Amino acid sequence: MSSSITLVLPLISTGNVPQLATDLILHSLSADFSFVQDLDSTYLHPFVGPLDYTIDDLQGNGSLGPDTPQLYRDHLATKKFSSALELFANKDKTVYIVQQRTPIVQGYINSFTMEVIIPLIQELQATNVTVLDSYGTLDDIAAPRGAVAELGAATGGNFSNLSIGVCQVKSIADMIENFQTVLNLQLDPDSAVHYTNSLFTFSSNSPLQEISTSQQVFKMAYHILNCPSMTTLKEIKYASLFVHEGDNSVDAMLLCEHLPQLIDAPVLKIEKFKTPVSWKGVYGLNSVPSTMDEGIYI
Amino acid sequence: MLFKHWNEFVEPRHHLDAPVMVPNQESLQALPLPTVTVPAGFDWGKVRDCDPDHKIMNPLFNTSHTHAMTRGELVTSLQLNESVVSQAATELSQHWDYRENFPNEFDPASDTREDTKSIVLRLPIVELNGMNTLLISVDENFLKVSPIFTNVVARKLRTLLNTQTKILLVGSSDKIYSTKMVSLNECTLQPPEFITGFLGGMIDELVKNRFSNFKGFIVQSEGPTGFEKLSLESMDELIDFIIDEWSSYNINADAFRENCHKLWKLDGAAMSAQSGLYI
Repeated sequence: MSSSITLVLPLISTGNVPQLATDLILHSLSADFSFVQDLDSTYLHPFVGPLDYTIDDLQGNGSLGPDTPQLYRDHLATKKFSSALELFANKDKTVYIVQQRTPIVQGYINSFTMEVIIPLIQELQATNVTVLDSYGTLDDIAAPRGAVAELGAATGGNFSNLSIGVCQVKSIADMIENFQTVLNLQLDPDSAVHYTNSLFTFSSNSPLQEISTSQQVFKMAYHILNCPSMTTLKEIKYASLFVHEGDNSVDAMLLCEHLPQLIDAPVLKIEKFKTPVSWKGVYGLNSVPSTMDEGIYI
Repeated sequence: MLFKHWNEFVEPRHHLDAPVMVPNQESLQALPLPTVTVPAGFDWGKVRDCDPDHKIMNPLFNTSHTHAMTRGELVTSLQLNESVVSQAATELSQHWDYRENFPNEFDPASDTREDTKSIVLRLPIVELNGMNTLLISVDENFLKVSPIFTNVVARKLRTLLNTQTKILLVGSSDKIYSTKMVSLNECTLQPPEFITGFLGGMIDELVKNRFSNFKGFIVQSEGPTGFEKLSLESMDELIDFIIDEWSSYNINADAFRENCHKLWKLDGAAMSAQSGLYI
C-alpha cells in the first residue's frame, strides 16, 4: 500500500471549473472511484438532488442498469439523493475527492475549514492536499496586480494557463512560529487587498506568483498550518486555471489533463472523458433547454 | 420614467445572492452559528405530524378548516461580535447610495443597517386541528435571510422530532421541470434538477438521518427564494394534494380551492397573467 494519501478539494470559483473537473474525474474513472460518505453541509447553501450518472450507465432501453449509478454502486440501497458535499475515494484509498455542489454561506469560510476540512484531513490521515481553483479577468482578489494583463510578460512567453503552487509543510512547528513574519504581506493600493508570495512557491511558468489573503486557499492554508494536531500532512498543492466564464466544460478537461502534475497517483490518467447526464443541455455541444439554463451547481 | 441602466454588472455565476454578514473578506475569525431557541414547556415528543414549509404555502393552511392556533415561536438569532460590527459600520459608511440611483428597487444593505449587532429570524409554530399537527412556516427571502439560518432551523427540527414522526414538506422550486414527490426511499428528481433553500436543507437533514416517514411534494415555480410565482396548474396540484392528505377532515373542496387561489393572489404569488385584467 502506498504511504501517500491525497485529498482533492475543488473550490467554488469562476466558471465552476473545479466542480466540472471533479465531475469528469469521478465519472470518467467511475470503475475505480466510488462514493464514501456525505460530509457536513451546514455551512453551505442547501442542496438536495438526484444521484448523477453517465450515459454509459444506462442500459440499451434507456433505464439504469442494475448496478448504476456507478459512483454510488455500494450505497444504492440506502442512498437516493446527492447532497451538497460528498466524499469519494479510489479502490485502494490513496486518493480522496470531495465534490462540493454549492458555495459556502457568506462569512463562514473559516468555520467550514476549521470544522469540516481539517477534521476530514485528520480522519483520512492525508499526506497531501490538492486544492483546485480557477480565476478570470474580473476576479480582482484572485488575479492580483495585473497578473492577467502580464500573463505573457511575467513568464517570458513560456506561460501556462494553469498556475501551480506548492506549500511544503515540512515542519509545522517552525511554520507556526514564523507564520506571522514569513507571510510578508503586501498591500495592493488599488484593491486594498493583501497579498503574499511566501506561502506557496509557484512554478516559474505560472501567471500567478502570489495569493491574496481574501482567497479561500489562503484561509485554508492558514488554518491547516495553525492546527497543532496536523501530523501527517506534508504538502498543500494549489492549482488555479485562468478561464473566461461561459461553457467551461473544455476548461475542466484542460484542468484534468494536468492531473498527473497535481496528484501523485497513476490512476488519475483519464483516457476517455465521460460526462455526467446533468451536463446535458447545459455544457458542451448539446441543445439548450428552454426552461433551465443552469446545471446541477447553483 | 426609469431608464434601464446600461452598465448592469453581470455577477459571476458562482456568486449567489445572500446577505453580507461579514464585510471583511480577509477575516480569519470563525463566525458562530445562529442559535435556535424553542418555546419552553413545549412537548415535541407528542407531535405526530409536522409540516415545515415555505411561507408561500401558507394559503393551504390558512383557512377555516385548519383551526390554526399559534403555540409559540422558533427564534433563531446570531450575535455578531464587536469587531465584526465595527467593520460593518466602516463598510456601510462608504456605501454607494443605492436608493438615489435605483429608487424603485430594494436595497439589500438597508436591512443590515438597522441592526448590525444581532440578527433574528422568528418562525411561528402553529398547531393545526388540535391534532398535534404542527405547521412551521419559514419566511425565506434571499435578500434578507442568510441560508445559515434556515440550515440551523432544519438541523434543530431534525433533532427535536422523532425519526418516526410523519413529516409533510410542501414547497416549490424553480430548478425542477415538473411536480415531484420525494421520500426517504424515492427520489423522482432527474439530473440536473435539484432543490435548494429551506426545503432542500430540510430534505437533506431528514434523508441523512433516516427519517422513514417523511413525504415531500414539490411543484414548479418561477423566481428567486422569497419571490416565487406559481402557475394555476401548480396551485391546483397543491390543492388536490392537500385535499387528499387531509381527506379525513371533510374539507369543502370547492370553497377550499377558491379560498386558496384568492389568498395566493393576495400574496402576490400568482403569475402576472393570472392576477386579473388590471394592475
